[in-house]
Formats: sequence, C-alpha cells, structure tokens
Amino acid sequence: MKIDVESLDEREILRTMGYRGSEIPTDLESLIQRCIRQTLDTIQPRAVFRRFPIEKDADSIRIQGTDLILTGTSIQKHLETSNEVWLFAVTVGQGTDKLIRTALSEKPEEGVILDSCAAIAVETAADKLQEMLRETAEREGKFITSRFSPGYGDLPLTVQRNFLTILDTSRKIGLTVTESFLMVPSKSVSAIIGISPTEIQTKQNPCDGCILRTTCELRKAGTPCWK
Amino acid sequence: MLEMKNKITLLDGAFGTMLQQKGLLTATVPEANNLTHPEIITEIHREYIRSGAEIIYASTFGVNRYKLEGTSYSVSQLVEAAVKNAQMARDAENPQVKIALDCGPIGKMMKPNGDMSFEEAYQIFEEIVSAGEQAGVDLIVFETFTDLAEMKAGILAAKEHTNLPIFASMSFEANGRTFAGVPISAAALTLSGLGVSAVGINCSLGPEQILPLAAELAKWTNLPILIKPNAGLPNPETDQYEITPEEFAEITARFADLGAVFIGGCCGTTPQYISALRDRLSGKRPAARQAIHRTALCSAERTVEIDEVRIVGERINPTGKKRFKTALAEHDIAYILTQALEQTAAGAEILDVNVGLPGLDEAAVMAEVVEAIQSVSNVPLQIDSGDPKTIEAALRIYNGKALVNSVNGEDRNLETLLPIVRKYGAAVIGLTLDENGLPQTAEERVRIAEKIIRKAGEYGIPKEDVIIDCLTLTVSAQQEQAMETLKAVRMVKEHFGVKTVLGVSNISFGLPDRETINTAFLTLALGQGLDLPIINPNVRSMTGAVDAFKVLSGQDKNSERYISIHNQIQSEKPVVPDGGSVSSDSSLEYAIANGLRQIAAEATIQLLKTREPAEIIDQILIPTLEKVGTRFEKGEIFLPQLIQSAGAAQAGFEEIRKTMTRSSQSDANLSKGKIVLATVKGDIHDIGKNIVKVVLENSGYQIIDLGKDVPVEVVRQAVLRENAKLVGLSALMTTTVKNMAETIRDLKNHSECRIMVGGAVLTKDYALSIGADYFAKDAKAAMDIAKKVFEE
Repeated sequence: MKIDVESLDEREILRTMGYRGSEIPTDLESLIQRCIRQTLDTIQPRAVFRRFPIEKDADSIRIQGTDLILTGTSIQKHLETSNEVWLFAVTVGQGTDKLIRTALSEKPEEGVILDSCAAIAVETAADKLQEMLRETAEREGKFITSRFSPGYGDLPLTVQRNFLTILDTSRKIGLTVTESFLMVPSKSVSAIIGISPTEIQTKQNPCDGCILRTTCELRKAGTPCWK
Repeated sequence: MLEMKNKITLLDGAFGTMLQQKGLLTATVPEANNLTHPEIITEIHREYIRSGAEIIYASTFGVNRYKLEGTSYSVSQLVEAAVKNAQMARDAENPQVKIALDCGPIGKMMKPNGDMSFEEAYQIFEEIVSAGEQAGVDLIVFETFTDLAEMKAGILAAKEHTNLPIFASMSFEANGRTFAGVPISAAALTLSGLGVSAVGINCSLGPEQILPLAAELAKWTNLPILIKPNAGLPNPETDQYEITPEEFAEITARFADLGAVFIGGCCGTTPQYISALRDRLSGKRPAARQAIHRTALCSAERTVEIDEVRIVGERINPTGKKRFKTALAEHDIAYILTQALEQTAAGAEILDVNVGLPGLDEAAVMAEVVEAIQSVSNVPLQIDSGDPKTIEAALRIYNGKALVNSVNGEDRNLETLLPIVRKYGAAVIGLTLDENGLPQTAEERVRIAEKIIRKAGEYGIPKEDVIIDCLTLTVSAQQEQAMETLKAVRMVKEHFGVKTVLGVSNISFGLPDRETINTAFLTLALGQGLDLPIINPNVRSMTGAVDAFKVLSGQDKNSERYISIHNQIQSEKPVVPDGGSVSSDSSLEYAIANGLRQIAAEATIQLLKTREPAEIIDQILIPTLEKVGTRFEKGEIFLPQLIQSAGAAQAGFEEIRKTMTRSSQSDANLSKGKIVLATVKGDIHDIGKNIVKVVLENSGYQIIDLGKDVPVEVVRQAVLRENAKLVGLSALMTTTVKNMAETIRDLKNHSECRIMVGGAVLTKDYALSIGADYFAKDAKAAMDIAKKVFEE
C-alpha cells in the first residue's frame, strides 16, 4: 500500500546532520528547503505488513505459519506481553537512492542533505504506518509495542532476508536485501511490532536495543532519533 | 507458431492464488510443490486449459539459484518437474496448448542500487533458460520485472543459450513507471530492440488501471502485446483481490480493442476468471494497429524522442582535452561524471561518450564509464567508438536504447557493426564516407546514406533507427564543403525521411573565435533540418541558437521553453562577496569559509597571475579549509557547510590544475600524498566515505577512490600499485565490519600502509582491536589523521 508523506520535520533533518544550534546562513536554509521539496517530489513511500500469532519457546519466538524464528533476549523482552506481531516493511523507493547518488557527485552538500531528508522521510512513513496499526489494535482493545528491527540488540540482522521474503517485499514494494543483509533501496525500514492484550508496562527505550547505542551522537546529545 | 493472425490467444491465470486455495502456498519454495504434489499442479494446469488457456505457464516463476539457496532443490530439478506437470496437463486436455517457462525476477537488486552485477544476473538466467529448453518448453516468458537491466540480462541469456521465442512483460505502478522508475516507453523501446516476440504488462494492477498503460505501450512498439492483469487491487488489510470473474472479464476483454493478442490473468485470477474472459472474447478480434515509426532513444528512466531538435553533448571525449586525458589515464571516473552532469544541466538531452585513448583498454573503460554515467544520470547515451568490441561491451551493459556513433559506408564496416547494433536493439549513426574517402559533393553523401540505410534494413534495422551524419569538414581547409554539408543534410532528409546528426564544432578548427563560426554554422544547419547537433552545451551561444531555432521553427509552442530558460539567464547576476574585491587572498579565504564555489574559482584565477600554485595551495587553500574543519569540530558550523567549503576549495584546485595542464606542468608535485579510499566488500552504503573523500581531496591529497563493495584484493592491489601511505576504509553494518577486519589483515600482510577506518557501528576501541591504526569519527578527524600520517 501507498503511504502519504506530505511534509518532513526540518529539525529532524538537521539533527541527523549533526546540527548543534549554530546559525544557518540564508542560502543554506533555502537549499535545505529545496532539498525537502525535491525529496517529497521523489519519494514513493510504500509499505507491506502482515499479522501473525507468535509462539514462545525458552529462548526464541516462532512466527506462526512461517519458518521465521526470532532469537535473542532483546526481542523476547520486547515482546514480553505480546501474543501476536505485525511484521512490516516500508521503503521510499529506488528513485530516492538515485537522486542522492546523483547529487553526491554533482554537489556533495546537496547529496548529504538529501540523504538526511530521505532518512527522515522513511522514518515518517514508518511512523504513519505504526500509527495506523496502533489504531487497529486500539479498536480491538489491544496495545502495541514500539518498532523493533532486525539487527537491533541481539536479534541477528541475518533474519532480514527471510523476514522480507515472508512479506514478499520484492514483488510488492520493490524492496530486496543484499548478500550482506543490507536493504535495497537503502532508505527502508523493516520492523516487528508486538500486539499485546495488556498495556505495555515497561517504558521501552528503543536505544536499549539499538546497535548504534555505544557510538550514537544523537543519543549522547540527549536527542535520540526516536525523540 | 505462437501468434495467430487476427486472433487472440488466451493465457492462463494465477498459480500462486490456486496454490493458496489448495493450501499449498505455505512452503518457502512454492515451486517445490511440483515434486511434492505433482497431481495437484497438473490439475491446476488442466483447469486452466479447460477454461480456455492456449498457452500455460509452467510453475517456475521463482525458480532460480538465488531463491533456492539453502534448500535441497536445484534449478534443473524443479524446472524439469514443473514442465513435466504442464506437459501431463497438455497431453490430457489439448495437445495444441503451448507451454511457457515462467521466469520471474531473481529477487536481488542490480548494481548500482544493489549488489548484483549484470554478469551474475546473466548466469542465473542462463541456468534457468537452459533447463527450460532441455525440459521441452515452447517459449520463455520473463514477467513481473521492474528492472530493465535485469530483464535484459535474462533476454540475452535466453537468446544466447536457447532458440526459443521470448515474451517480455513488466509490472508498472499506476503512475506508469515500474518500481525502478522505468516508463512504458523505455520498456517498449528497449525490449522491442532486443528482439523478443511479444512485450507486455502484468501484475501489480487490475485491468482498469492497466488499460491506459497498455494504450501507451501500443504507441511505442510494433510487437504483439501481452496483458495479464491482477484481479483488481488487493485489500491491504486482508490481501484479497476484490473484483469478480465477470467484472474482470468485462474490462480485460477491452484490451483486444487496443490490439493486444495475448491476454490472461495474474494475481488473484483463477480458472473462473479465464473462462469468463474466454466467453467475453469469443468472436472478438484484436483491433488492427497502426505501424509505429518513431525515432527515439532511452535510458531506463527517460525516453528522448527525436521529434524535435535534441542537443547531444560532446564533452565526454579526450580528443584535444588534456584535463580529460589525465582523468582517463588516472581512472578519475568522478571527473567524467561531473562532465556528464554539467552538460545535462546545460541542456544536453543525449550524451556522446568517447573514451578512446592510446594505451587504454577501450572496451573495459567504455563499459565502466557507461555504467558509471547511468548510475547518476538518466540521459540516453551515444556510444562513440569505431571498435566493434568497445561498442558491444557498451551496448551489452547499457540500460535502455542507445545510439551508436558510428558506422560508415564501407562494406566491411557495415558488415561488422550492423549485426551488433541489431542484436542489442540500438539506433545507429551512419557517417557518409566510404572506402573512397571523404565525398566532395552533397550528391555523393546522399548516395552513401542510401547505401547505409539499405544495408541497415537488410540486417533488420528499421530506417527510423538510422541517423545520418553528412560530415562537417573544417571550413578553413575546405571552404566550399560547408555548403555541401548543409545541402546534403536537406537532401538526405527529403529523400529518405531519416533524422540527421552533425558534429558542429569541427567546422571552425584552425580559426580564431571559434564560437562565432560554430554558432553560425549550427544555425544554418538547423535551418536545413539538422535534428541532432553534437555541441558543447556549456557554451551558451550554442544552446541559445538551438533555443531560438525552436521558437522560430514552431517546435517550441508559444515560446514557453525559451521564455522559461532565457528569463532565468537574464536574472542571473554575478555574485560578489560582501565587501571583498575578487583579487585578494582574503576573498579566496572568504569564499572557502563560506562555501562559495564561483567566487573561489575567480579569486584563484586572479591569484594565479601573481603567485605560484604551490603557494596558493599551501598558504591559502589548505589552511583555510583546516580552519573550517576546526569550526566544524566545535559545532560552529555543521556538515553541509564543511562540504560546501570543501567544494569551494575544489573550485580553486580545479583552476590551478587547468593552468598547470595548459602550461604542460605536472600537477603531481602539488599533491601532499596518495590516499586510497574504499567502502569494504559487502557494503553499499558509501556516503560517509564520499564525504571524507570530498574533504581530503581538497585538503591537498590525491584520492584513489575505489568505490563501494570493494573486494579485499582490489584494495590491496590499489595500495601496492599506488604505493599509498594511507588507506581509509568504511563499513556501515555489523555484517560488513568483518570484511573490514579481513581487508585490514590482508593489507597488513602485504604493505606498510597506515589504515584509518570509519562507520556508524565502529568505536575507537573496536577499530583498534581489528588492527586499524586510526579511527576517524568524522571527516574532520580524517583530515587530522591524514595530516599526521603525511607529516611524519
């Protein structure tokens, strides 16, 4: 399905570029605005999602009806009270990768700004989808967890390929994975959202599960990417 | 054999949907059902045949080496079983039914977005199509493709390894493009050129949404058209397709009115849909189609029809350009890309690509440059070479329909090159000269043109794909020839109705103020009917002449294009820095500090009049950029500003290089040293590396950029060959950091170089633990490390 992304939060874009509050010259400000518009014109946000019951073993979680098994303590903790999950994937499409690549060879600063815009665009699309899923759960009197992606915490990134195969992302939204399990198009998000019959008690800090935890400049600055 | 005159041939419907209904879609490899449940597979085929399908697709859509990885199945095993099941159904129901090998996308993305090379895709397809022919299919269907290059690899594999007819079908979104951005026109032009038997549209949308797309397709191809729509659009919540067989058949039958001859169903359709379709189509004939004679070129994302004057950019060519020669010799692909993008921005709609330089492997360099340009540009390319190997290497990997520059009237030349042009479906420029040399009259040129057009026709290349070059000779040497050339342009157009091309700039060779002559000649030639002027689009009077011609000839309706371009030109004023005169050091410093490219270039030109290049670099360019780096470190400016400053410094460096090339000085001694940069094997995220490159390059180092996904041995070879003292490696993901560790181990075993590493998941401790000498957390850190290493 298509997802509408009509605007991008400039503060978020600045933050991913390591902005620390200095004065932004007018020319640069208008360049950023232009990049935001160009990004919005180029992106084709699309998503797939599927709902599955889960089955918990001592050290793993089985996604029923598939051969996907999630291992590690982080995902177990994340899905502590859940008995179902949504698997989803969102991408802003291949055109965005080319836009960034072209800009990087023509005017590198534009490439860098567009790269940040596209990163925020896919996060925005993922947020929208998540919100939609939350509403669906709410209608059923259920609750959802935050997003948890392959590669977070001790959930191996290697599940990515099977994860995307189950969602048939290659055919449905043009999303594939490389031999090293990187997603192509690069501005894509795949994630697991738990569905819980009871309210999620522990306030989940997504940083706890994140692979960039120790190096992340945003987290150090107290402004993590998830806010 | 497959297409019947004036008759619609019915195809089958979805297989996945049927497997799902029978509860067999849960397996990771759905095609394994061919072995585990052959009777059910055969029954599905039989149901389709009973519903009226005349061509059935064997259940082989996802069978390929990549998707079967980690399973116990082989490609030939599943293809054989699938074809056997289809044959059983045919034998039981109707021996007239034809069986297709169904070949879907591999499931991996091609370079440059992904990590699959053209060659790898080709080999994967070769295995499938060979197995299909062996198993006895009647034809091969490539369907549901979204990447034109991937499909081309499949078609070439099928052409080169089987004798079977090929159907080629892509999936489009409602906006008329595939996920990879391929418009219908580009798909049609490219696939038709590759010599398939039918082109089509399947999946992704329902019949209603595909109708306008099919109408568009019919405007771009003369081949039979194939359509397999889904049963409407799926409900995102339930994933179920929601139109009934009757509704489906009612709309799908309308494809016959567009002239489609192969019609069936894709996802969500069942035998009920196909039999409803059969009923609707009964007695209906496909509408007769108008023959299409359009001259058009394309990349995968953009079609350029030669229905009005189109500028061909001439700048990607080493002839007479020292700077370009140096770039080629030093393998500086980035420079060539800037030349491509600059010309496109200036108005070129096609780019000529010539990389002929003695001592270079022309074919290899051409293929690499074509691939690199296509990775950043969507402009169709004109492959400029006389060498058959080079032309073939370029056409093979070219994504779209290219123009070959050129063949001439010599028999041997035509016999060597035309089959290559035909095989890859390119258009071709015919140069009006032959074994007798340069013709002296317009009439001789016309005679040679006639021969080229006729010969091309004999090889199956239609007239609209032949563009005639009536040869621009140098007016200072052969003055009377200018008018002969112009006369020939008009005659060729009138006699044969073909398009024409001229390399314009050659006219003024040997004369002062060449631009004046070039512009006048261009204007005259346009008046005679020149379609493709090959010019330097960066010269405004030249593009201006074309813009003006389009107004005067009525090609530019209501002068809209002219007004939009030339209003903008008038309003562009030169930028002058606040309170700075353009000739002082301070203005270069100012320009770099504020990231002003143009000012930096102008200030450098001024400075070069009085100061030595080395002095400018060491006393202004580098120290200023270092200051900028420090401000970045302190958070006074942020990343885009650092890069803008590096870009301004680059503009300064570029002026210095130009001066030195002009005075034949080597610029090698200006370099502070060589640094090899690479994003490690398996990793395709190279933005961090590219930022480091921009900054280091303009801090005075010579950068050998190996790109992304670079194998261990390629890094080692480059380091040894260049004798580089410093290597920078980047890796983004945990999965690729292990390749970084391996690259470091290999380098440490073979060389003395220092290694710095960077990447989001790295920490300093971790970097040192895998053997790196330095951890660069950002571009400024990389500057500091380089300084340290080279000052030791």
